[in-house]
Amino acid sequence: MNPDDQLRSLRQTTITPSLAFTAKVMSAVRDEATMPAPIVFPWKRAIPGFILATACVCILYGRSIEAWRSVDARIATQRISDSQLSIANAVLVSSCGWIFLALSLSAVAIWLSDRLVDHMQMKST
Amino acid sequence: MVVQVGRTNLSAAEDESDVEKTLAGNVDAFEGIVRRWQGPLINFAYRFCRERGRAEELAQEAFLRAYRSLASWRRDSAFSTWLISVAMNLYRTEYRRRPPEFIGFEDVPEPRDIRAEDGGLQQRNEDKALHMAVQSLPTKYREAVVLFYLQDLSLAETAQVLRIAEGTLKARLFRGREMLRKKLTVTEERKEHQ
Repeated sequence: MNPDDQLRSLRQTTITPSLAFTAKVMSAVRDEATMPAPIVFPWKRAIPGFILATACVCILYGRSIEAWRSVDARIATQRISDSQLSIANAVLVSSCGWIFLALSLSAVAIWLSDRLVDHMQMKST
Repeated sequence: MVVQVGRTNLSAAEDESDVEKTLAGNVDAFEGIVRRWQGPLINFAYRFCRERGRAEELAQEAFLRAYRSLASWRRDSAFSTWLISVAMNLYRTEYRRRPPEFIGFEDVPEPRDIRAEDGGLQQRNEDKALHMAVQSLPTKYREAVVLFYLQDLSLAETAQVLRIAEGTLKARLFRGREMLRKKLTVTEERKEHQ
């Protein structure tokens, strides 16, 4: 017997489904059919938020770099006074504040959307 | 138990009609699909996991997945091809997640029973050895061999399920057959030496 025929002969060896198989599958299918459709993530509402958040992060990043460079340049030319240094520090601290604020807002947004999804799931059940 | 499950009995028109009814909201119409395809899907799963109970679990999950994504069946391929693709993806994932106990070809048992010569056991042992040899093939060759030879799909259908060109499939089948031939020859030689 050549390998092709030998392999084809294996088709003869099959197992038969158990008697309850169809009933089990149909029961699972009916359960599936009665389940409420999963809630789709609200991309349409979320996308503007994501774009805004990305823009904020980019602006903050750009300003931080700008502030850092200006401080760095003044130190390099050794014409920086104590008062200027304190202003530079203030700028850096305020940038950090913005970053902290953005992160906090993101965390609150995530928490709120989680609560909203829970609330909608409870309503649907 | 040995039963012939022939694809010739499976009606594409009935499948299509049941799909339409199911999509229209008649869940019971899906039972026709399950009845027609339970044999091929369970046997297909069995060829991946070699455990009867597990094969039924996998086939059940494949039917559920098919039910969930029934609307995604585009009529550009036969329902059978689509259903086998759904099952194939599931079985492949499961095979990676929980591979069956690996048996190296050198560990494939030889027919030792003296009754094998006249009791049909030799044939069964040879079949078992060949099954194990198929199982020990690398994934891409095993999938091609199982679908084409054991699931009785055509070249075009097998290529469609595996999402490869027919030429690539032919090459894989050729290479798979060569690997099997070599493995079986080694076993035969070992048997003669003993």
